[in-house]
Amino acid sequence: MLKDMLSRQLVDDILSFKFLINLMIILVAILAFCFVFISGHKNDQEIYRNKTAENDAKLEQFSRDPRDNNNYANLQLVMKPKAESFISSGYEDRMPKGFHFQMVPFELKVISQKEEISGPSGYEVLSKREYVDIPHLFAIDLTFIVQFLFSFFAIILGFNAATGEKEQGTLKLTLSNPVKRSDFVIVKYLSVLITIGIPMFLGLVIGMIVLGLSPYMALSLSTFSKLIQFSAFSVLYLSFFVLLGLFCSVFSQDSRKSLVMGLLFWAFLVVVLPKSGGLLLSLKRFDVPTPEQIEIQAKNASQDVMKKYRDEFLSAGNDEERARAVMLKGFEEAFKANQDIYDHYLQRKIAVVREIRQIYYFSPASLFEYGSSSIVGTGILRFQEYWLQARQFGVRFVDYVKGLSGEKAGTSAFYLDVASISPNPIEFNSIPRFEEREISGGDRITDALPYVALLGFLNLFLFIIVLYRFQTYDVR
Amino acid sequence: MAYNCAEVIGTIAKREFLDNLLSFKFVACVLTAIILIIFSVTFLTNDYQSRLKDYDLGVAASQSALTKVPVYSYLEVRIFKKPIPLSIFVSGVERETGNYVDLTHRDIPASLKGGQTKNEFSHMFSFLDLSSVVIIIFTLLAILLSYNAISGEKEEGVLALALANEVPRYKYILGKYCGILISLAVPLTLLFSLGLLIVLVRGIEMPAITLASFILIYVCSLLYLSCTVLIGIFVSSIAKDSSSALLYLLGFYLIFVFLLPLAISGLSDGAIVQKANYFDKNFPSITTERDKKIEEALSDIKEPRTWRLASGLAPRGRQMMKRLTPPELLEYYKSVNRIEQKIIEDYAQKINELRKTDDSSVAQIRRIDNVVYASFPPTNILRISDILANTGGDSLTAFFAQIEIYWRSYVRYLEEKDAYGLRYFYPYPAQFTAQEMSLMEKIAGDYIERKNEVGYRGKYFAEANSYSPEIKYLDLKEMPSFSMREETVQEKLRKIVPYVFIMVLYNLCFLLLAHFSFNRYDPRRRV
Repeated sequence: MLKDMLSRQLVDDILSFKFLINLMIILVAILAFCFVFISGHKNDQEIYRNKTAENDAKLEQFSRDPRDNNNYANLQLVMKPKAESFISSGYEDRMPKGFHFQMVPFELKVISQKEEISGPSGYEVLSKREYVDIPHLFAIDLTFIVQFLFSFFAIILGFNAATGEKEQGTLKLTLSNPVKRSDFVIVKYLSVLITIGIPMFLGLVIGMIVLGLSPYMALSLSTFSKLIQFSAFSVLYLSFFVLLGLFCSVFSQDSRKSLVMGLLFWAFLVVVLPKSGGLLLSLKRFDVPTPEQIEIQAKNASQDVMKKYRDEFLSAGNDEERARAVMLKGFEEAFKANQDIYDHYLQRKIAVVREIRQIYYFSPASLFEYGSSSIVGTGILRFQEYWLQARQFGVRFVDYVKGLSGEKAGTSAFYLDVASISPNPIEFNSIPRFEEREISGGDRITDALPYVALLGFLNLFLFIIVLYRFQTYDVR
Repeated sequence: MAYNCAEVIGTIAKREFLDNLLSFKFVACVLTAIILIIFSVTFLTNDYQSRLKDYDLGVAASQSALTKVPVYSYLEVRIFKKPIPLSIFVSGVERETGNYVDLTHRDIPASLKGGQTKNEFSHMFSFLDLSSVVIIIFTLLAILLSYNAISGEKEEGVLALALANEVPRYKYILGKYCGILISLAVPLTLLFSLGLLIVLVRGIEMPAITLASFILIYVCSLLYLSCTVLIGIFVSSIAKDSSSALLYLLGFYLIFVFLLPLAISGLSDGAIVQKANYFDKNFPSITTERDKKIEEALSDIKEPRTWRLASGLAPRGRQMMKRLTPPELLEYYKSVNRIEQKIIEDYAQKINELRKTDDSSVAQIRRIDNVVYASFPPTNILRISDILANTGGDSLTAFFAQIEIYWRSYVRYLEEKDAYGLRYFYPYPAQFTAQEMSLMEKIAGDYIERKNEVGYRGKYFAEANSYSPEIKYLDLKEMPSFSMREETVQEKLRKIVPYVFIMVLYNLCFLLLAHFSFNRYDPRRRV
């Protein structure tokens, strides 16, 4: 019985006019997005290549003349554009792109917006943001298509589940058979979910084919596994909106009212609510100092340390050995104090993002956005990981150069005296280079877990309400 | 029954308006919009006030910095861009760009510095300002109010009844249109006045030009909503029932309000990267040409062989030490700088030209952008409010055009003052004092003894180092100062004319379309 009802419902849904419109819009959107994404990705790759070439040139100069002060690693570590960001960009285009790494004095600072696209010539061009006049609400990725378009269609397909049948008079007929009301709801729910799944599957396949054909995209096996995880998560998300459609249907007396109600819910849940997070930033709680203030604080912190060591240095008097040791220690500590301030505020800024996200835990569209970026391993999760890796790289690099200063390994004498480094050219390949490591699958899933669980909970909650309400629904 | 024309339209409009006023969708949309506006205007007002404070502080600091410039090579004019009050309603790119430029004769600035957002990650979260509330919420409301204007009435059976009276069809449709438009205009007026009220209560100055632009934004928004309503009525009169009318309209909403602008922004993103690459590709050839030219021009001038104090070791700033530079070396530097800095100045203009040139593909994307923007009502109104509020990307172009004009007058002033020659590097006096002369003789003797050994600090290093002449600061009172010329309302109007023209055209077109299709409309209920 359940099976019959389901197949009948499916045929009904798939042959409907609205399904056709949905399918059309989705396919057009996915194709358009593919092309825009590929062109953007191509450009991003070019920027990345330029920056890496710049770094390599600097390192090569360094390998030829290790004593040259100007070459003391002033590198720009930039995140590599990922093909996966087509699944979920995690708003990476609105985040800092990477770090400046400088060895003497040791510094690891976030690259500012402006520096992102200025090339080796160092002359700034207007940044992307200044050039585009459109309010940036969404990113060009599959997450947007699912979060925004598919949720919309889920409501469109679900809004007349009960009211439509009632208006046609079939509801009374169906329920006069020995069909449990809960079965009716489940059939409707499954049918809409499957109907939604068809364009999703088609869209994903077509999108992947188009992306795969492009020579600029490197799709790997892990991309596909992420895509599958993402699709599963999308089904969970869409299930919420299917249920919301049913919810509107069982709470209103005719389809038109139910549709209007569904649309208003949709606009509120998908556009208004998730896109008002920026307003929370003005709260005192989320306040952070400006970049200039942070710079001053960092400078003061390092000067304080220097002052502390100055007295000790002066008291060393004629003991050159000791004076040198004190000075070296002072320098190292001062650099560390300087860097600690930057690290502290970067951590605070990332924590602010996480805290604001927590406020949006009740909003399904936000949960989906955050969860999918975690599943794919982009966005804030990637940035955090990148930061840790960049710091490790910094330490590794300094250790390497320390190793070069032969006689007293580990004393970082090069801070004061370049002559302690051997002037012989070093082999280019032996210099440590930065290579971003993928975030492990376990980490991604752990990060995504709360979002998945909460979304599942919201689903369950809505399902129970719909089921309960339909038991007492007036079918006449 | 002979009704007065206006009376009929009035009655229908009034009924429509009252109907809408009490409907759930109307109340829900308007309440959401009001809450959003209260929050976003308050947020942006705070933001504006803090930016204004930064601006005032910055201007004061740069003014006082100008009184303490010892030499022209230290001269750097910091120009702040005044925040625009209308950015509270149409945030545009205002908040995300910098707030000042540093101007020297070496380079014409083309990008703003500073004024970064406190948290680099804050752009991950967005918010809706007044213009996006109009686009996103009011468009939806307009669609929800107009989709059943005709098909809905038919389904309820009211249409046949209404037309059975002596109501001509065009009057009926006009009445409907007026009613829906009034139901949109009332909350829109409420929203705009609420926003203005919050701003005025917070004590923000709104000059007459700003107010006029604000009102123009309101009028254009109304024009846009009227266009959306007419599209709604038209679709309602051709669709087979109200549900499919709503579906068509929602498709329109999704595509033109969300998808299209997003896709265009993606393309523009690509364009700017291409532009940067183009610049990078051509920039080195200009600098090598410049360096070659400088080398050629300086090939005749020989550096005099004389003693020189190791300037790099001076802890008190280079110019102090350089005061004790031998006069013949100073003469040499003067003549070198006159030539070198002039060439650098000339090439600053060439570099700026290069910055402004797009290669053809970028220009093409920009052209397509503009055409697409103008062609569809939702993007059209976005562009109109950007132009009127002066917060869009084009306002930056206008700012830099003014900066360029100022730069020219600035370098003219420098040339008049012989800035590259006379006091470019060192605040040296016209004549050395006896104390200075004796110190210099001592140093020169010491250096000649050591035969200008590399890295030699000199016996009199400490004495030279502790010597601090009185610094005379440059008198820069006559230097031209930059003042931002604001666009007049007429200029803004001239700019938006094509956009408004397209919008009016849309209005007329859809009014006629709705009229004709309604004339042939079958008002009977299908059973």
